Amino acid sequence: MTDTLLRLNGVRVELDRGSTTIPLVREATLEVGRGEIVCLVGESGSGKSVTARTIMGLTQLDAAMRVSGTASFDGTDLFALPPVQMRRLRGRELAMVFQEPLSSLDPVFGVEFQLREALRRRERLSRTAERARLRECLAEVGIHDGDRVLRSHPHELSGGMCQRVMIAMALLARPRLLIADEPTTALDVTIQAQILELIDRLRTEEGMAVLLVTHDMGVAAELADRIVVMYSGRVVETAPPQEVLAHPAHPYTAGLLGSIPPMRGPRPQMLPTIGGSVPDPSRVPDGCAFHPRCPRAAAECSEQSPAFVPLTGGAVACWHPLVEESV
Amino acid sequence: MATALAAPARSPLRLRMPRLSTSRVTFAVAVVWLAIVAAAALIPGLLGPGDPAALDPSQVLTAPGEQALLGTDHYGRSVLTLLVHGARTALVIGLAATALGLVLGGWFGLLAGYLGGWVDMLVGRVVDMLMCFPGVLLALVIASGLGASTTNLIIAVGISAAPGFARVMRGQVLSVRSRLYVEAARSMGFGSGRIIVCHVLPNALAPSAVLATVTVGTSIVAAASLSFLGLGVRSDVPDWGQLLSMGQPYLASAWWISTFPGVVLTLTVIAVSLVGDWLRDRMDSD
Repeated sequence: MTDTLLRLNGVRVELDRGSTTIPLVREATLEVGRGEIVCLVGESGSGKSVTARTIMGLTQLDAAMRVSGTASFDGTDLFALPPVQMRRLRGRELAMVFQEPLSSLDPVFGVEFQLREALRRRERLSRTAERARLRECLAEVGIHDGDRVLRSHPHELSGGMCQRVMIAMALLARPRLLIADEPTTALDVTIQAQILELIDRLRTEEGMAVLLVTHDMGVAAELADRIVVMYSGRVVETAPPQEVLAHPAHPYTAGLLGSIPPMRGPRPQMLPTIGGSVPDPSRVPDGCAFHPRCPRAAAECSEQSPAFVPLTGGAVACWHPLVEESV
Repeated sequence: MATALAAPARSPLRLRMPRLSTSRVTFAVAVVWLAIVAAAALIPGLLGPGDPAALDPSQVLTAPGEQALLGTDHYGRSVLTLLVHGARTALVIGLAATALGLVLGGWFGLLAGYLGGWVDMLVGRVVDMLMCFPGVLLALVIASGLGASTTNLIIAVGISAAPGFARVMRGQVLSVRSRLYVEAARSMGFGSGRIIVCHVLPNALAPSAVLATVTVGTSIVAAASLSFLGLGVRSDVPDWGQLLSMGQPYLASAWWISTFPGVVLTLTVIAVSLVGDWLRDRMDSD
C-alpha cells in the first residue's frame, strides 16, 4: 500500500513496576491508509485502547510506561518526536474520541467554552465567526439546535448528544487521523447506529482516516475497510472485512465471529463462546498466547510464537490458520 | 408487646420535628449572627457607640446594666464597644489566614497531586511533619518566632492551616487528573499548565472551599488563643482573645469581661461551621 498515513511496526508497551515489567501491548503492527477506516477488534484486555492511546502519545505521558517499536505518521516518527512537537500534532493532525462521552467533557464548563477551546487550537477567528463555525460543526454532526447545545452544560445533555459534541470537538481540528476508542459502547443501539453512520459520512466528506477501536465484530464488518484483530496485546490477523467474514484465518477471529447470533436461519440452542478469558498481561502463556483456548492447538503452539504470514489482502499470525497460505 | 412499644418511635411526628425545623432555625440564626458580626466589622460605629480606647476612670468594672449594656473593664472601657470593634480583627484574621492557608497549601497540594514522583514525596513529608503538631502549637511556634503583630498572627495561623489544604487538594487533584476529560484535553494537545488551570483546578476546588469555611472558624479561635497568650495583636488593637485574657484576673469579681468575648467567639465559630456544613451539603449534591 503506497498511500499509508499511519504505520505501526512492532509496537510494544510495557508497564514498569520496578521489579517486573508487564507487557500491555506485545506486538502491534498495523497500517491505516488515507481516508480509510480501520477497525481494531478484540476482547476487553487485548490492548486495543492502549494501542490507540499510544498513537496519540498519551500512554507515554505516564512515566511508568515504556514504549518501543516504531509509529510513523505521514513519514514522521511519532515515538521519536519531542513532547512539544507531539503536542502540536494532537488536536491538529490527530484527534481522539473516547469511550465515555459523559465523562469526556469537563463538567465545570459549558459546551461552548470547550468547543471554542478546541477550535482555537486550529485557528483564530473573531468571536462571531467562531460561533458560526461551532454551529456549523454541530450541524455537521447532526445537532440542529446548536444554540441550545452551546449554552448547555455537559450534565444537561444525553450520552448521544455528548458523543456528538465530542466528535464535533475532534472535527474542529480537521484531523487527518481520527482515533475513536469504542465511541458507541456507552450508547444505546439506535444512537450507536447514528454515530457510526456519522463517522462513516465524515470519512467520505472530509477524507480523514479513522482508527476505530471496538469489540463489536458487527460494527467492524459494517464500517471497516480493514479489520485488525488483536489478542492479548498482539495483532493476530488483519484482513478486509469480506475476507474476515467469509474465511477467518485465525481461530480467534473465527471464535469472535462464531459468537455473534445469526440474523437469518435457525437460531442455535446455545450461542458458541470462546472458553476461558484473555490472559492476564503479567502471565501471558508461552508460544501463541491463544493456545490454551484454541480448538486447533498443537504441540508447537505452546512452544513458539507464530510469525506473521501474508494472506490474500491481509496477514495472520497462527501455526494452523483456517485458510491455506497463498503467497 | 414489642411491636406496640416500637410503634410510637416510628411516628412521623417524632421523626420530622427535629430534622426539618431545628436545622432550618439554627441555620437562620447562624446566618443572622454572622451578618451581625460582619456588620460590626464593617461599620463598628453603628453597633458599638464610642471609642473603644476611651478610658473612663469613673466607670471602672461596672456590672452589665443600664450604664453599660455588657459592663466595663478595669480601664472603664465598654465591653460591648470592645467586642464590636474586635469583630473586625477577628474576621480579618480569620479570612486572611484562611486565604493564606488555602493559597499556600492548595498550591503545594496541586503540584504534589499533579506532578507526583519526588515532588509528591517531598510535599507529603513536609505536610506530615507539620501535621504532627497540633494546629495551635504550630501557630504558637511560628508566632513566637515572628513576634507579635497582626500580620505575623495572620502568617502564623495561615501557615498552620496550610497542611490541611495541601492534603485535601492533593487528594482531589489525584482523582481529577485521572478523569477522562483531562485526558481528552490532553488529546487535544493542551499543555500541562493549561490543563491544570482550566480543568484540574476548577474541578478540584470544591472540597477545599468547604474546608476553607471551617478554617475561618478555627483560625479565629487560633488567633484568639495566641492573643490570649500575648502572642497576638498589639495591645491597642481591640481583639476578643485579648479581652478574654485581660478579664481573667477579674473573673471572680467582674465575670463579664471574659465571659462575653468567650460567648461571642463561640457563637461566631459555631455559626461559621454551620454555614460550612450547609455549603458542604450543597456541593456534595452535584
